[in-house]
Amino acid sequence: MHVDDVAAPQSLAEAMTVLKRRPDAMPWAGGTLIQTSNDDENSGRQVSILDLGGIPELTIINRSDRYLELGACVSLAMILALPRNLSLEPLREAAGLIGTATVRNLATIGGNVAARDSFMTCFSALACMDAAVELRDAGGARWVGIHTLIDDENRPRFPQATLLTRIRIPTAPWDATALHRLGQSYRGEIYAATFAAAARFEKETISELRLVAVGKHIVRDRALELTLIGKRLPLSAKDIESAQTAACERAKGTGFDDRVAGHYGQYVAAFLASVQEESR
Amino acid sequence: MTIDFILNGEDVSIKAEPLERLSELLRDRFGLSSLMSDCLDGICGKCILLLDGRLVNSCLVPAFKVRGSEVISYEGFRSTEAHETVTRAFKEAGAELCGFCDAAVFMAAGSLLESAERPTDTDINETMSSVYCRCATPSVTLGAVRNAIESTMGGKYNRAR
Repeated sequence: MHVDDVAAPQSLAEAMTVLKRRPDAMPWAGGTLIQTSNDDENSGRQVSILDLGGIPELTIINRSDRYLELGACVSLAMILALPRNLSLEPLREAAGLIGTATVRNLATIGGNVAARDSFMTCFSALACMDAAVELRDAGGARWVGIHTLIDDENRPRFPQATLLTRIRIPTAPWDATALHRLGQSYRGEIYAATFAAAARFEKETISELRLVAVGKHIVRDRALELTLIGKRLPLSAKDIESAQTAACERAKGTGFDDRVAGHYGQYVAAFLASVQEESR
Repeated sequence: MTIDFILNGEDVSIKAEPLERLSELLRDRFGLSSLMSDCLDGICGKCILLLDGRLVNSCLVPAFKVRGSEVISYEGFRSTEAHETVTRAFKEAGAELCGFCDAAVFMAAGSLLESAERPTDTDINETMSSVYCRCATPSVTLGAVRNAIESTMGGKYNRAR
């Protein structure tokens, strides 16, 4: 990339003015993803950078009775430093899986959510937790569910000339959560996908369930979730086995390779088995 | 673009490409040889330094991000009391670090001495694992850093989270 301009706005209003002038400007928060991506396609491209590091509004963390709001430039290290009583699993687990402590001092939650090529680790957790995101463009600011950042082919869809400014996470506690890496690259550092799950129980019955896998695509099989919601615990071996098969097939059909889809199915089964354990 | 920042306590100004990696900028243009740009991926940790008080991988930081910031590399850290404490603790623990790792390991350990709260074992392990080093075992490193913290912050080491 060749940079022809670096704008360093000091407020969101200034940032939106820059974005209006240069809709193609590349927002830069921690920059860890951009710096480590091997993007040959863009190697000769002229870019304008919108440095978000000087905007105080984007590093604010707000807490209400029902939600936690994270500014998009809150670092992953800041998320890990939040009080443990905030019911932030599985987001905390996701943040802890990314890079090393020094990378997490740079990397931001916004950068992880707004990645355009793949769904990153935190996306799986936030999708599980029914997070909403605040997007700002020339038309103003709006809150939308995080699922609106997914296109019809289950790929990331982050709108152009738009800034992700805040992430709102419901803080109602989950009774069981899980987060795991799926597959591994030949280099041993970059994982193909992430699995996240969360469940609530009521009177020994599954009352809410989320099963998500993200990578180049996202898998969330609501039909499978609905099949399991309302089932009494413990689940039968047959229920777990059929959920594993359905999850695996769904992942294959979405574009995950067979190996990663197999891991996804296994983790779904393991999570459902752990739900049995925890409900006893 | 012109980048003005504070490097190891001195105001500096340099012309650089906006996306030039800080590790390369400091090593090639300021002669800071402690910064090893080894993996350029934020994995090896051999290029860590303090940027506005945060320990970061300088290979992931582009030059434009340093404008108006304060940078402390191992060359600056070496003259501090924390450095003396840390190197003594590692020596007493019997850890012999090679010349490729030592700057980053000492820098990481030193950053823990500056923590507002007393670091726990988890904090120490997390921070120290940012540097890929096989010279000392994790348990020796943990012991050395605990001792350094005890001698700086006083009192018994708190192992509870």
